[in-house]
Amino acid sequence: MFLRIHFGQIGPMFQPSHFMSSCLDQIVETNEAQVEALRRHAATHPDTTQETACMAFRRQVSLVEGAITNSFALVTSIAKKTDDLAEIAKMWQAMSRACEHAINLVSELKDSYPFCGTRELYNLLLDYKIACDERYHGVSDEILCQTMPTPTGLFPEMT
Amino acid sequence: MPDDADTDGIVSRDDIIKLAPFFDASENALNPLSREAKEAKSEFENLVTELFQKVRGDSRYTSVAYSYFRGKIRLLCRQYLRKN
Repeated sequence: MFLRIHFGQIGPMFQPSHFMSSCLDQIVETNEAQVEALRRHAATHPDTTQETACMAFRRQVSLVEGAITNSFALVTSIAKKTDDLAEIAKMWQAMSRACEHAINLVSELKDSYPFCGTRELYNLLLDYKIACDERYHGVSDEILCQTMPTPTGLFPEMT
Repeated sequence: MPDDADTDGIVSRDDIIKLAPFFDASENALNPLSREAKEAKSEFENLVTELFQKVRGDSRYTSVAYSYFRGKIRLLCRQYLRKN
């Protein structure tokens, strides 16, 4: 909410890369905190065949899901307002790493806690990591294009 | 002629205008798994592939790589969206 209010006020021309780096750090930190909380939950609720344990575990699974999906949306909004392609590439690389961090933990838990939403979370995390990687590679191609000569008569000159 | 009139290549300004909304809806989708995002991505990729086939039919551009072509189209769409 804090970030949403600020972006609403600063408008599309605001380009402070240090502010974006700080946002990215916060995003990664928040995601890691939720993933670590899931790890702690797994340690303290070893028997998820008990309904109450599974309910508590499922709630933490939802929080990890929310952290990743909200972070993805936030990175998208920041990237849309950013002109520097290298900055955008860095954002998607960081977001991809955050997904990977969560995937590594959930891949361990999805078989030991199969009825608490871990399998669905695992699949969602994989899909989000693929989406991050696609955006990263797309922007990287754009960056590479800028370093190469444009063949004459192929593209419109959009001044 | 308007001030911002552009010189077309094999890929025209109209092609970019057609592609830009699909690029926007795909690249800036808050939920990448939504139906809208997937459809926009698919439309964008299909149109880029169609254009690339047209380009490769021209003997002057047989050495143009698909990754370069797609990257350049993305850049032009991004540029167009910033201005419009």
